[in-house]
Amino acid sequence: MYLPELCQKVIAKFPDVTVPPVAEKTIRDPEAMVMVPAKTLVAVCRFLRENDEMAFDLPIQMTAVDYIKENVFELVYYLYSSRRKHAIIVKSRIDRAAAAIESVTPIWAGMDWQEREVFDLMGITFTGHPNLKRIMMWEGFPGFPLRKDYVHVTDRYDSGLEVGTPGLDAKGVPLKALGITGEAPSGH
Amino acid sequence: MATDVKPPLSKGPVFETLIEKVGENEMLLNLGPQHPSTHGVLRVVLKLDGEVIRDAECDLGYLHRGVEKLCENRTYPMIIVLSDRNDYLSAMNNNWGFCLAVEKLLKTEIPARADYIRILVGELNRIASHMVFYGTFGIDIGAFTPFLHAFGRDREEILDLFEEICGARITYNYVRVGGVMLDVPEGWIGRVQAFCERMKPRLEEYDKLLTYNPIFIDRTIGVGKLSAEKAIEIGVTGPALRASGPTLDLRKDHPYSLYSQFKFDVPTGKNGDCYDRYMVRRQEMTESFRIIEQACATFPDGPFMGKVGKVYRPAIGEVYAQHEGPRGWLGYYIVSDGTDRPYRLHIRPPSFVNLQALKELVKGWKMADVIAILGSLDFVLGEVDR
Amino acid sequence: MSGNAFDSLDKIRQHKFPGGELIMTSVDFFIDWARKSSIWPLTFGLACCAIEMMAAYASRYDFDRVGVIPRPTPRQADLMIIAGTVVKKMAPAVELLYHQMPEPRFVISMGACSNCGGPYYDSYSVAKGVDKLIPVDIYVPGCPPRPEALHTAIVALQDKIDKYWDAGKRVLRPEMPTNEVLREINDAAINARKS
Repeated sequence: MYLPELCQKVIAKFPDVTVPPVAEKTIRDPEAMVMVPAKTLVAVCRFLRENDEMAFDLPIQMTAVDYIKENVFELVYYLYSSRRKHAIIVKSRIDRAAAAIESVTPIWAGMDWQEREVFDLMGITFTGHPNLKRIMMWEGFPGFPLRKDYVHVTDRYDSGLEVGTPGLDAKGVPLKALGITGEAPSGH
Repeated sequence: MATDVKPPLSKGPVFETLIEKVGENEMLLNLGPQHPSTHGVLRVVLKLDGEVIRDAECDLGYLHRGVEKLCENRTYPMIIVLSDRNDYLSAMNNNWGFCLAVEKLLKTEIPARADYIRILVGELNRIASHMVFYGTFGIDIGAFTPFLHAFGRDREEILDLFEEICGARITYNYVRVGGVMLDVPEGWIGRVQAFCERMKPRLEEYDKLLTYNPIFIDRTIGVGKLSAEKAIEIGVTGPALRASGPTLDLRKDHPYSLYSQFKFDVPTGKNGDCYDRYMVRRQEMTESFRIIEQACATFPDGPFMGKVGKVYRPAIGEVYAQHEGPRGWLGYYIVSDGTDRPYRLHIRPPSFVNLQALKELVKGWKMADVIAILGSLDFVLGEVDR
Repeated sequence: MSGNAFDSLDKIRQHKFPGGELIMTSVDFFIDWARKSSIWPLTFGLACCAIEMMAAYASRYDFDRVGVIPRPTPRQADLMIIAGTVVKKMAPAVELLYHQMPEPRFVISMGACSNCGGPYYDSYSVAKGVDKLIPVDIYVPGCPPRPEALHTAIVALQDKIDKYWDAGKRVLRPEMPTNEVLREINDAAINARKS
C-alpha cells in the first residue's frame, strides 16, 4: 500500500516537508512516510485531518525514539483514514537538549494519553497539551526511563539488577558478581 | 547508594484530586486501584453531583512494568515471553502480533500450516477472551451464573486445548518468529472440531442467560453511547468501535496471514451503547467458530516452522505491524539497529487507547452505570499500563 | 511443647468429630480449626495470576469446597493472595490493604512476579518481590501458577494455621511480625510435625 502521491500532495502544500531517503539494505514500512519540521507539524497534521483526499481521522499511535548518537528525538505518528483506508507515517525530529514540540491532541483526542506517556517516559514536553502530567510513573520519579542515557536510582524495592543501574553492563549482569573488577588479573 | 525514592502513597494514602474544580454540591469518589469492578488495578476518580457523574479522570500506572525498556535489553525470542504477559487474556494474539513485526523485519516466509495453526489458536484465544468478557460483564451487571458457565466451564476447555499444544494455560509463548513452537499433536484438530460442536448449543444458552435477560437489557441498552465520529477521533478500535457502526476490521480491510481465504462476517452495532458492545463480542464468538471450522476442514500438511535460525539479527530498519486482537488493533513498532536486540520497541495496546473513551462515556450517567460502562469497554490493565 | 498446660489434651484433640457427640477440646485448637476451614481471601487481582486465581474460584477448581470464599473488602478478609506483579506505584496501596485486614492475617505470594520480580527482575518500576513490603506466609512458584498450585498453597496454609498451636505461638499477635519471626514460626511448625 505504498502511496507516493500522498507524499507529493503534502509536499506540494508544505514545501519544507521531505520524504526521508531509504538507505540500501534497510527495511521500512511500505506506507507513505513524510518528515516534517517540528514547527510545521501541527499545520501538516491539521491538513492531513481536514483535507478531503487525506481524511486521516483515526490516530493509530504515536511514539518517540531516542537517537542518542545523532542527538535527536524522533517522533513517529501513525495515522489512518477510516474512510479511504490508507495510512501515513509522519515523522518529526527535535533536538535532545530542547525536547519540546507542539501537541496534536487538539486535532485528534486520541493522542492525549499517548503524548502523556511519551512525556512521562521520554521527557518530551508537548506545548498546548490540555493535561500534561505523568501517566505511568508517579510525580517526582527521577529521570525518564526510556531515554538511552537513563540512570536508575536504586530504592528500597530494588534488587540492584535494574536496567540503567550504574555498574551494570549492557546486558544487565552485575560485573562484580561475575568477578570482573576492571583490573588485569594478577599472575599473568 | 540507596536513595529514598518513594511513591506518593507510601506514608498513607494521598488521594490526589486529579480533578481541579469541585463545585459546592459536588463530591469526589475514588474507585480503585483495588476494586472488584475495575478488572485489575485501574483507578478512576469520579466527580459526583448526587449520584450523577459530572467528570471522571483515570489514574493509570498501577501495573506499569516497564516492558518497553526491558525489550531493549532482551533478544527477540526473549521478548515473546514478555509479550505474553501484556494482554494475558489473549496471549496467543500478542505473540502473533510481535512475530508479525519481526517477520516483517526479517522478510520471512511463513509455511501455510503454521499460518493455519496461528489462525486456529488466535481465534480460539479470541473466543476465550470474549468468554472472560461475557462472564465478568455478567458479574458487573449482577448475574453470577454466566461467569461459571463461560469462564469456569467453556473457557477451561479451550485452555485444555492450548495446554495440549504448548503446555501452558495462560502464557503460551507458542507463536514463534517463522512459525509456531511445535506441531499440533495427533487428533488435536478433531478435538477442536468436537469442541466447536459442543459449543453450538451452549452459545444459545449464553443468549438465554444474558442476551435476552430483561434486567440485563434494562441496564445496558442506551447506556454509555459512543458516537462513531467520537470513537474514530479517539482511536477506538476493535469491538468497541464496531459497536458504534464502522466495520473496521483488519482481518477484512487489510487481510494479513491467510484471512482472505476464510468466509466470515464482521458484526457491527448501531447505537454504540453497552448492549451493542456486548452483542458485537457475542456475535464475534460465532464468527470465530465459523473461521475455526473452515480452518479445521482445510488444514494443510507441511512444515510448521519457516527457515529462521535460533539467533537472528534483522537488518537495520524500522517496521510497524498490527493485527486485529480481541480488543482492537494491536501493533508493535520495532526499530532495529542490526543487532539481536531491538533498538526501540513500542507497543500499541488497543485497551490503552480505547480506555480514553471512558471519560466521555460516563458523563451524565449514574454510579451503577459506570460499572457497566467499564465492563463493556473490556480492557486489560496489563496491556494498558505495560 | 514441654511445659504447656494443654499437653494432656493432645489425645482429645486428635479425636475426629463423631456424629453429634459432645467432644472436649481446647479453645485454641477449636479456633484454629474454625479459622483454617474458612479462609476468606481478599478479591484482589494484580495481573496475569489474577486470571488463574479467578479460575480457581470458578466452577472447575471450585475453592468453595475448602471454605475459600472471596471477599471484596479487606475488613472481612483474612488472607491476601498477591496475584501478579507488584509495581512500585501499587506497593503503598498493597501495604495499606494489608494493614486494613484484621488480625490474624495471612499472605500468599502467587507467581514469580510477586515472589521475586519474575520476568521483570530488571525493571525500573517493579518491586522485586512482595516480601519487600509485607511478610509472606506461602510462596507459590509458577508464571502463572496453575489453580492446583494455588490449591496446594491453601492446604499448606491450613496446615500452617493448624500448627501454630503446636508451635507454641499464638496466632493473635500485637504487632506485625517480621519475616524472621514468621520463619521461626514456620520452622517450629515443621519441627512439631516431624516429632
